[in-house]
Amino acid sequence: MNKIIVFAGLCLIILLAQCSIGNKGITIPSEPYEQLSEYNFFTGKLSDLTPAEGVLPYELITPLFSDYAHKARFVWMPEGTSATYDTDHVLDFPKGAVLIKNFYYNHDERDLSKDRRIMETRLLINRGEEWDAYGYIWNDEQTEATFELVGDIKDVVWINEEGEEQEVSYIIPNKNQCKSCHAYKNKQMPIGPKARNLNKDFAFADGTMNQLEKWQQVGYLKGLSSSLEAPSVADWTDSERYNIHDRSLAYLDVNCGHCHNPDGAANTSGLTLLAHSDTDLKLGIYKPTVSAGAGTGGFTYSIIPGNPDESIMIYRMSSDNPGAMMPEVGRRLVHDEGVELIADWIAAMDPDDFETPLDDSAN
Amino acid sequence: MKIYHLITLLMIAGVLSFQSCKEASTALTAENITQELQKKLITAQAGDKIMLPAGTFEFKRSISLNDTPDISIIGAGKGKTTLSFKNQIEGAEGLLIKNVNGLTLEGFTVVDSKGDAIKIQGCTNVIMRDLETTWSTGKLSTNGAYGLYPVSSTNVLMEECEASFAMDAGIYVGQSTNVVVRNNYVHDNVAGLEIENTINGEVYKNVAKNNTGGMMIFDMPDLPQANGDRIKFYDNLMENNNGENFAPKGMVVSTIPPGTGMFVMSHSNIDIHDNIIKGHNSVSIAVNSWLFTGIPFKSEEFDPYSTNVHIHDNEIITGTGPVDNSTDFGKLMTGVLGKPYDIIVDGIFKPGSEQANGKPTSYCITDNGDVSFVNLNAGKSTDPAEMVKNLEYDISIFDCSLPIFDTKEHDAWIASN
Repeated sequence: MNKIIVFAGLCLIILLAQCSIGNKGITIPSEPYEQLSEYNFFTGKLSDLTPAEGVLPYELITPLFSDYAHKARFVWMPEGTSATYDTDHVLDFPKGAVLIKNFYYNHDERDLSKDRRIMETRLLINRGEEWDAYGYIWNDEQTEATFELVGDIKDVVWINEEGEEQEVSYIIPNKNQCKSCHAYKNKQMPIGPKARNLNKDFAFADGTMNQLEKWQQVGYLKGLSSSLEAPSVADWTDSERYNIHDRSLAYLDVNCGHCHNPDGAANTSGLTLLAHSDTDLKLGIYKPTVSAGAGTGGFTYSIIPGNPDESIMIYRMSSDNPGAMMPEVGRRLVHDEGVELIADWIAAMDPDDFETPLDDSAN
Repeated sequence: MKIYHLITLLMIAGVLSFQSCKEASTALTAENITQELQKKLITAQAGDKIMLPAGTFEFKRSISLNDTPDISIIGAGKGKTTLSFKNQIEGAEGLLIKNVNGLTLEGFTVVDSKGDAIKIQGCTNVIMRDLETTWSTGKLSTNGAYGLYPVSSTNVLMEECEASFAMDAGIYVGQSTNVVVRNNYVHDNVAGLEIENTINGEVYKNVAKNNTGGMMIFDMPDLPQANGDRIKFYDNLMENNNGENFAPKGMVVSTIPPGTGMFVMSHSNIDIHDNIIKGHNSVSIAVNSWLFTGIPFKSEEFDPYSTNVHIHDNEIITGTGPVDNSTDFGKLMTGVLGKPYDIIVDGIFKPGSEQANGKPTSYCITDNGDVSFVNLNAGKSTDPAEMVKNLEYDISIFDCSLPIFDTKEHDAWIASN
């Protein structure tokens, strides 16, 4: 009899532990909730993405291109915890911190009153040693998003700012693919929230403020005395404030540098694409390929100063062939504006400024 | 009695919740593999054996496995279980496996992936057995680059595999340590089999036919594993590797002349013996330094010279030509040499490796029968008009022997498998 009661009690504990009982606050389970709404990150109608108390929206100065999807980003941290400032790397987030990223398309970029379609919400949860990544796919009714390990492919149509109808088979990544971008020294990590990419003003519900200062104000950031001492990357679209070199490196940093760094998944290529990279061979200048496969497009060097048309970097950014394109995952469309920026940057390089490779007549 | 009802209810609830929250581990079948294989690899636990059913299955996306140790993926045999990526719309590989300690892949075919067929990165204790990679499209420059592609991995055994129609290398072992590649068959690729920047390797009893070049040992500059070292290459058959070079221009392999048996470039400590190399219309064995390519490099650690290369006791029967005239190197050979050679060296030796009598110690070439040999002396000039005056044909200066190195570090691991 006693054994039966103990066993029954055990069952009850399992029941309680596995299927957490809803309450209004935010608690982060050890295993992902089945539905996005269970986290209570948002109040009111879920698809409005109105943040609950303690959930703070943020933007990046220069974001990763994801097939023209918009991203609504939020951060949440357990009460009483805060991230520690880091000049170069991703901020040192406390255990339990969550980054919430919602990917959506506006039906008509010229008329935002025509609503939007949210495709997926990705959660990055800091477990201490490493971050867990969970994907939630939104239903067509836009009432809920459901946990999914293996991602999905969904066709989406929208009208761009020029009034042209666009379409893409939007790919929601699987759990393994998260790590193909989100890895640093083989551990799953966020990419975006580095001080240099957060150091900008944002229109919060209670007024505009520098994001780093806002994080300090709400207790989400310590170790920084003033946003003025933090670096900031160039806004890749802002040609008035930043020169083309800085905008290009900012673009490459965010779109490529998460793999193309000395500790990243693409270190086997020998190419390093970071905001502070020197303009030399490791950035691709006259760099021959190692294992680019179809990615060379028949060209010899990653970047030929003054000659974007024969630079492999432009070829791979302009390709939508999965075997040739860069980045390898996370897009199916060509980012025309990004290609234009990098092509203009390469075109503006003066070949006389660079050491040219040896005469290759011996080949 | 009521307490018993309650207890029973709680028990049922507990058991049900336990079952419903744990994903039921169903076997892969021909009906569910397309949906379930990726999920199974994501949820795999250490020690899992994932069995693939027989049949041909289409995948639209790359299949990936990360981090979970001791995983086996086993099919019904190559040609019996086929993973087809003909309609792939995402991912640069067919199968991509990263950071797995203890990996066995066995008994399946990967066909028509958009990029590399099977890429294994940063893994340890890897067995690849009875696998096939191929492209059904024939020799196209748009095929994937590599068939079987372990890179930055430690302890790799590859055996009984077949790789064909890769537009770079059918088998490509890159930047790895402790590697055994044996009893594999590579055909109709650009490079049949390539060992690159790899340390401690044995490559034996493999067959390479109808590739552009049969077997390559390369070191490439500016890579994390800067230099390869200690590779034994023996009992292999290279035959009629006279296929067109269909690699896109810009890739290093696009410079391999059709009709190349074996190509050594800038690698060190290589023992090449008891191979049969026959029917190649350009060159049976070429040994070069990286400097010969004229391609610049930055790494100070990189050793661009081929040093301590010992080529002995091979059976060499070179083809009758014509020598390739489609690649730059082929044109150079056609223009300067005019006929195929058994052994060609570029003659760019590591500075300081010459002996007092002027003999370079970089290479020893002995007991390969009556071979035709030419030293291009490319260190003096790479201008064809000059080169033609600098050619040397005396193989006797390479009559020497090199200390035998051991590869016991991998022998212990191989012996345990």
